Amino acid sequence: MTLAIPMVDIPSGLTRVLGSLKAKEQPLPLESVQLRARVVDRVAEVTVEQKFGNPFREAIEAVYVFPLAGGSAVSRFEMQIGKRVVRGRIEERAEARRQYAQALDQGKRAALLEQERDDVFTVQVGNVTPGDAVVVRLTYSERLPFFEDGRTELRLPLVVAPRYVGGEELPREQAGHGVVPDTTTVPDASRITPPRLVPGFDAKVSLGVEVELFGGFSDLACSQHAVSTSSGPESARVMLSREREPLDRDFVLRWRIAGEQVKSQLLAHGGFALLSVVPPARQGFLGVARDVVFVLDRSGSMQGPKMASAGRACASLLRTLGPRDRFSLQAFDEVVEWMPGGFQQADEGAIERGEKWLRSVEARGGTELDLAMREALQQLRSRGESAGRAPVVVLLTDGQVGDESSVLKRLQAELGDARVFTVGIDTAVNDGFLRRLAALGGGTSTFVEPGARLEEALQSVGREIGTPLVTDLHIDGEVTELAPARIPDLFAGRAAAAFFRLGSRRVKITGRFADGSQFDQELEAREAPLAAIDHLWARARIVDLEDQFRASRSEAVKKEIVALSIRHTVLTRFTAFVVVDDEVVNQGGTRRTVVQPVEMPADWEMTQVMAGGGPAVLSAPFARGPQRAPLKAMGRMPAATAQAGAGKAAMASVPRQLMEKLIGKHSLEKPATVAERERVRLALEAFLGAFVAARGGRGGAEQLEQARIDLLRALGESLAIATAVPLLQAFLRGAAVELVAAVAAGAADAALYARHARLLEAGRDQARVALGEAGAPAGSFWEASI
Amino acid sequence: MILEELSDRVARELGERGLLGAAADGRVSDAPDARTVRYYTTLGLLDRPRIEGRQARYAERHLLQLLAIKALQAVDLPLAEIQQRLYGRSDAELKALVESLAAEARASTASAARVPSLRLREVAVVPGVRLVVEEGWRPRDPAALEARIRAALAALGGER
Repeated sequence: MTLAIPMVDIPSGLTRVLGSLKAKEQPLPLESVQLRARVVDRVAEVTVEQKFGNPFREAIEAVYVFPLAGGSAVSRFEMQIGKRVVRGRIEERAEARRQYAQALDQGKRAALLEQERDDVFTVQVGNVTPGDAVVVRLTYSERLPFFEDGRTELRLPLVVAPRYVGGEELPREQAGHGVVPDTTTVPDASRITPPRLVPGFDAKVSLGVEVELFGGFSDLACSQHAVSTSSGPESARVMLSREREPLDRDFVLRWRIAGEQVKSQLLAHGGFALLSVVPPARQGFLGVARDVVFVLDRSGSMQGPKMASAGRACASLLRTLGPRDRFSLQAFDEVVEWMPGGFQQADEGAIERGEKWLRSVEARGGTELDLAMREALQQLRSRGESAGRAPVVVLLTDGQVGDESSVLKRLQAELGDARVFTVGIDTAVNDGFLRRLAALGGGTSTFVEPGARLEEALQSVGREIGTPLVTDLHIDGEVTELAPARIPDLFAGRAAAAFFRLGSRRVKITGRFADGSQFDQELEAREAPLAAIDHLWARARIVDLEDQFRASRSEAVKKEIVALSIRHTVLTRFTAFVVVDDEVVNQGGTRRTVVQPVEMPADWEMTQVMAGGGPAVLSAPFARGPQRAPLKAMGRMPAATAQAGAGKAAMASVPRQLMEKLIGKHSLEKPATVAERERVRLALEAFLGAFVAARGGRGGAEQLEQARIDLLRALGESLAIATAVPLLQAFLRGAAVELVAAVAAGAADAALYARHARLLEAGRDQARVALGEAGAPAGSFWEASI
Repeated sequence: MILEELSDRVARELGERGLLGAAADGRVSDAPDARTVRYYTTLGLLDRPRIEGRQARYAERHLLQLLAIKALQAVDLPLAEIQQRLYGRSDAELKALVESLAAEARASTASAARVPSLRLREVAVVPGVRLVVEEGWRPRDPAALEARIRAALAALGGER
């Protein structure tokens, strides 16, 4: 028998308690991400496999917000449980969401794949039981850009970076599971803002990347990852060298295709064709003189190496200007700052002053890109004597904004004869948006990683900025359903591409050189094993249609997108992939939703600020500096939580607490009666009618003013509705007064109406929610994202 | 509840449960402010509040989440580790954690109160054998004591 002799009692409680909640081997639902890419004939086909487990005690629904390359055509989605594979269907988005929710309630495993932006997607996998393993797999294809010297690149993004979200919070149920609430300018902010991992938390997601290249190539280089390469004579296989890479930056592979392949070509498969046109070398091509506005993003997300790199990039582009050119410089965050002096002749002295000015630019604040682009275009429009110089905007940014749609829309409306070029600078750049912006702007986009090789990477950009080599491209032959409908202009050193249905084997391409002479080229189609070509064609068509939808919000265009999407199995913002397994694994369907937190992108600054003895606080990328509330956008929360509360829009509404003190809680919580609601609804419709009439020149200031007063009166009679519609109240008491005055003075122009229409729409939407007319909680939030 | 109410309740419950921990040296503040709450939300440690009108509304789960964060901060865990332990946990798990941390806090407060008064005296009898005696202890029955020591040594296998 042993006899225990108690010695000194050491408190051991802490270890016991922590033991009960000890760090798990696999702490989060996402266990692994495997990417496999095959590149043939400059088209990449990529399979992304995500494995989800459940480290918790109850069934969960895992949500993962992740990126794919910007131009990708997602054409397949499936779910695998053990050895069983269930293929996904593409449906209209609302219907797919309904089927998914229903399957979950029935206790079945199901998965849903939705597209939020060109390059941001959400996957949801529901009824994952404890210890379960569910794999989802998607396939997409993408045409790779290439240059006359044979350079090409494959970009596999791995993390959605924090994006700047402006605007006022929308008082309705959130559209997604992210950490930033939906706002008036980004109505689906909650769908593109996944939670972040605290630095030091190893999420233990195993990452595998494997790329196979076919055809001759050289100068293979991976700019942000260590890779191992095994190559044969006609192919190469590239894999990550390390197993445990964090998913915090794009995987970027660049190489050079063999010289004899660098020429225009026409690839055909199954009735579709892909045309790549390489511009002819034109020695001594100078193009016309240019007026270049450089727009430099100096927002908080650029902090650190990115800001320095962006400044250097801008300076090196300045150096490519010739003495005939003029330039002006602008840096923006929430405000726009111009280098004094307007347009300057690009002589040595001016360029030096420009470089000096650029060195003084530091990162801070939000990313009001829409405002910056508006001023840049305005600057070009308002230049006096342009002497035939071509108007050009060069935007240098990481593109990390949530309101891409409004920037694109502005460009469509206000571009005029200007061209827009984008230079994306980040470890995890918003490439989809910057490509779209440049394509709409008739320019080109280039992506560089912050760091030492920047100037080298930008070498070729300088000469193409400004004027294209060949314009007015046209294809003769049995060509139908061309996408994009307008073939992009040819810039020196850069290939352009288009998809179409091809009846014959030969086409002739014609165009016009800058000096007016004729460009033509004849091409014979070559049969290529491009299984993805119809998906790529459909995607290109849909891009065109999305541009139309953005400008018109037309139901017919929407229907066409949906039809194309379903017929050619290509994911869009209007459709979604859904997959349901028939086995019931979670009777009753009770589950919790766990959103996968993601890494902060590499090289983004994470400053630990000890605030008043408080915990470490992330000085967010969008902070304007320590003196201002740092979590302006990334940690953006409803204004009401930030005590200071009311933004401009709220000035007309009395803070609820104060209201409660003034009139007692009871009357505030008294719901609006049916009659009150009806009165407000009618008055709102009348006001909207008066606004539309005035805008169309059919109504006068008096009508508008009467409608305004009536609506305010109706609101005054129902406190419950009035307090729920601060945006509408603010509009009626502020902007609307200004508008009425402008109409009375005959000074209301289209721009003024457009600005007021946006404010009014926000107020109207808020009112409709308050009146119980909002329908589905967040409605078709995806329409605003296009 | 609104943020101020949530903040008050967190401070009160931390106090009541003895979970203020390192608050005295200023490293763990008891009442989370708006900025801290926003930060925790971006980390997914705190659910997004519900918005009513323009007001953010917090519920019991938010309280539980904040209590758990604060309680783990009070035992000096770095935030990365706190996120790792708390991320995605159910209400029941959070509740259990907060309660066991509170129980441990009470126990260690109690033992902390006792331990400082405990002084031990120690003498080496032969190499390898030491006698440890609480200060103030006086032998009352040496024979019984000797018997017990013999039994103890026997149990340890040192002497029969």
